[in-house]
Amino acid sequence: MSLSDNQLILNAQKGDAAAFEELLFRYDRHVLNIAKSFRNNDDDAKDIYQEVFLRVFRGLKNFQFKSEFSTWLYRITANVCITYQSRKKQHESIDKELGNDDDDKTTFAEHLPGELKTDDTAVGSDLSKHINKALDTLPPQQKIAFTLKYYEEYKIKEIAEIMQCNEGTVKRYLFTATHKMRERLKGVL
Amino acid sequence: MNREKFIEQSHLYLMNELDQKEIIEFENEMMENDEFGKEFESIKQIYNAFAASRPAEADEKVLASARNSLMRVLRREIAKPSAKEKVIERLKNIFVTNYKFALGSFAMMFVGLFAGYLLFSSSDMPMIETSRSVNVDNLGDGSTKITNIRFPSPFSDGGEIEIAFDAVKPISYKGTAEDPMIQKLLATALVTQSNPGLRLKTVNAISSQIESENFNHDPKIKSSLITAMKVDENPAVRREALNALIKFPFDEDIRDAYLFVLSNDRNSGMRVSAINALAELKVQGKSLDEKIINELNRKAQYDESDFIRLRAASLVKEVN
Repeated sequence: MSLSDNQLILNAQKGDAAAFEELLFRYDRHVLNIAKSFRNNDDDAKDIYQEVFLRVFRGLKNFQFKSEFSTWLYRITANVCITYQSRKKQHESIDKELGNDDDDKTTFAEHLPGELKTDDTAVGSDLSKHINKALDTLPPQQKIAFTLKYYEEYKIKEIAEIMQCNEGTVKRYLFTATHKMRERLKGVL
Repeated sequence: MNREKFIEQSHLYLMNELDQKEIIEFENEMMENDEFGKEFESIKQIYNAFAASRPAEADEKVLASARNSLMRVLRREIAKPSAKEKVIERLKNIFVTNYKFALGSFAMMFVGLFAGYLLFSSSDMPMIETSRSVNVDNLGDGSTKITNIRFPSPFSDGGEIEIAFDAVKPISYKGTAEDPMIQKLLATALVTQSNPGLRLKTVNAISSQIESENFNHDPKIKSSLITAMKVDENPAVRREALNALIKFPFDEDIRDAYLFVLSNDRNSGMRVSAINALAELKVQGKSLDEKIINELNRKAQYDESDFIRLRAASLVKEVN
């Protein structure tokens, strides 16, 4: 019979490495998927995964069972995603200032000329590419709300709990994100 | 329902966030209003695009790789010392590695100073006084200070050990002015004390006793007063010594001392005192010898002080 999350946490807090490992294996796939949805990149997803569980490992001894372990874990995941995105953006802007930007030099607007018809561009992987590009322009909070809602199919209430804000704020993030995405994908859709 | 509210409800409908009643209400609204229907289709299109572009889940290979990396990092994390251990380690480094020579030297110096303090402090004098002139039994009372211990021959053939040391013992002695010991002590103090205040007190102590009938002075008293009058660096001490010497029976030593002052003292006040002392001899009916007259003549001509020249000339005239 498998132990409950709380029992595993108690054992892990006493230094039981096997308990921590079991807890990790229960949730790590989902954490990796959130990270992958958020960044759409395996390496970035692995970095986020590692940072999340390192924080969990360090913080578990102070876990006080005031919320579900899963909520706490996904909250950490959301925070790490937001931090990771901000950090990545900073590095990218420094790279651009130093002229080390290896990315495609064309702007998003150049990718999406207004005259283009849906049939011409929005097919197969191209659509995903444009959506991901548009997604990358969102602020981190909007992006994580968007990821959790549309890719991971969380309820607004759950997202609010993970992001530690009220449901109205999550709705605002989602509506604004969707509106921006819609605007940016006008030529594609 | 206005357009804004409808758009909001459309999003919530497509997000599956409306309850059953809200869904029925929303669907009715959409069917009744063509414009809302078109708006809904437009919004639905973007949701379909989101659903179509949903990233693939991380595959097993990526998960296994992520787990392996994490386990490596966690093992390093477990092996890493805690904050408390870091502090202890740092303190250990300070005391054992980086500063060990400096701290070792410092510790040795401290031990040395402490041992020196225990050995030589007056309050805890060790019982090592064995010389004939020092009472071993009295060392513990702190009255004798032992310094500069030396071992000229620590392991001689005969089994004897020779220890040399300086024993300094504070002594309090009481006595009258006639006590030869008191007089010798006063004479010694006058020429050896470095404190001019003490020298002055010594001169005054001698001076106050000279006129007493029972005062039978030690020759050292007079010679120390003469020395003080001639060479003491403090003018007040020189003057008091001169005043004290006036009370002594006049003799050649005193005469020569007055003449020395008159001839050599840079302080004109002292030279004036010396002339006055010689003039006092005349008042007492004593004759001034040739040596004195010659010096007075010389002073009457050459002394830099007008007063001394006039005073010397006047005295010579009186004698003649």
